[in-house]
Order: sequence, then structure tokens, then C-alpha cells
Amino acid sequence: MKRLPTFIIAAIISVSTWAQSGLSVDSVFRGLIVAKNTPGFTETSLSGEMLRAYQLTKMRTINFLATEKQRNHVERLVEEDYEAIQKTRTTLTDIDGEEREDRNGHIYYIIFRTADTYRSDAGVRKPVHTYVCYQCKPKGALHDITLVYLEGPAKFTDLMKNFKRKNNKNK
Amino acid sequence: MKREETERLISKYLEGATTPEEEARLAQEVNQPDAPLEWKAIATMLGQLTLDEATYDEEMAHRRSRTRWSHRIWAIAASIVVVAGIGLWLYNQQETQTNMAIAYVDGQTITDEDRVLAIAEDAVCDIFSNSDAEESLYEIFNPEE
Repeated sequence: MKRLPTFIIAAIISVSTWAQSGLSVDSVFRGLIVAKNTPGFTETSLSGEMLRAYQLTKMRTINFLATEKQRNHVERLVEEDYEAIQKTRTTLTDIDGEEREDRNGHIYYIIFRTADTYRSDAGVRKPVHTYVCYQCKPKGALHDITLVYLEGPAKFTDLMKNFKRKNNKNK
Repeated sequence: MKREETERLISKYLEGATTPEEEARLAQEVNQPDAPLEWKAIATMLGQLTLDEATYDEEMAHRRSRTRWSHRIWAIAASIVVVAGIGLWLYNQQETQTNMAIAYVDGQTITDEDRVLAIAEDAVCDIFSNSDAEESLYEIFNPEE
């Protein structure tokens, strides 16, 4: 009986962590494939008002250099999440939300929508879109990998417009 | 207590072989309102003192049991209140979308919102810049704007 409240609290805390925890790529974000103390490892976690311009509520990015073996492992996890969402797609509107380019038999970059989550806003259940973005560029003998998790009401076209616009401004 | 057991205790009592605990149990049984008439004689022999002791013991046992349950119920209620409170707090944290910005770059922690956002934007923009989709795609999907 004494263990029950402890268990419930632990369960609440665990479900309140980042929503990408249900995805295969979660292990990459947690530094289980490439350790976070590896030189060059960059990680960001953002949430709240500062993402309003992108119509997002959460954003998480990691960037690191990987060996071929590590690249293959990360790529397999990304493919797992991509294939998992493909199986659930049933309508044409589901197709809105992906871009992919493969080079030399490997993913060069991919952006895809994963399963929506839901949140309650003034008693109304609203869908929250979630996206996984992955890019792998060769860098000498290594691979420069960027993995991103996005969450919010933004549609794929919103993201495309906003981030491409931001990129053009930076140039 | 079953009738056979009461009869056995009566026999034992008449032989003078009962313990005080057995006499207390017997006193309760033979003083029941629906007890047979022949048992009433035993009740008289056992006397009011034994019955009072038995009643007292039973009452105390009830009270102890009630107290234990009362403590358990309060403990469960307190746990539920604490857990519900934590749950509501976490829910509100999510709903209010508390601002959070943190970055780890080469083992260094950065908490300046603008710097963290800039690092994140660079990473995301780099990926989205690969797309050759025209911006008109946006208008196609959002003709009302």
C-alpha cells in the first residue's frame, strides 16, 4: 500500500517528460547512441512563448558527429519511426507533412509528421502535431547528424514557410 | 460460535476446566437473546461480571479495529490529495507552456533564451533549407489566407 503513491507520482512525472519519449529516436535524444559528452555534441530544448512565431510549443534539437556505425544506428531508428507512422496513414490529408531525400542508399534528410498528441484547451480537445526532422551530411570520415523534434499546432506547410523564410533572412 | 462448540464449552465449564477467555466467550453466547432456556442457567452461573468483561473486551477490539481503519482511510485520502495536487500542478505547467530554453554545447550549459533559440533555429533551418518545395505550397494548402 505504501508503494502505491510513490508509483503514481513516478508515473505522472514520467508522462510529463518530452513527448518524443514514445518514439524510437528518443534514445538518440537521450544520448544513448552518441554520448552527450562527445566533443561537438550540441543539444537544445525549448518550449513556450518564444516559439509562438513558428506556431510551435516545443522544440528539441541535437547535432553531433557520428561514425558510420552510429550513423547507421540512428538512421535505423528514424526509419522505424517513419515506417510506424506510414502504417497508420489512411487519408490523403495525412500525406501533408513529409519531405525526404536519399543519397547513396542512405537518408540525406527527412521531415515527417508523427502521431498527433492531444491537449485540452478550455475544455476543447485539440490536436497537437509532432514532427521528426533528420539530416546527415558527410564530414570527412564522419557524419554530421542533426535530429529535431517539433511539437505544436503548426501544419507542415507552416513550418516549411516559416523556417525557409528564416533561413533566407539569415543569408 | 456454533451451537456444538457452545455445548462443548458448557460441558467443559461444568467440569471446571475452562480458561477465563473461554468463560468470557461462553458468557457472550449464553446471554444472546435467542439462546435456549437451558443455557440461561449457565448464564446465571457465569454471572454478570464475566459477561461485562466479555462485552468490554469485544467493545475494545471493535474500537481498535475502527481506529486502524480510520488511520488507513486518512492515509489513503491524504495520498490521493497529494497525487492529485502534483498531477494538477504538472498539467498546469504543460498548459501554461512555461518558457524553457536550455542548450548544451561542448559540455557548456547555455540558458540565454536568444542564444538557445538561435542555435535551435540554425539546426532546423539547415534541414528545411534542403526542401525545394515552393512557398506557393503554403498558399495551396491555405487558400483562405
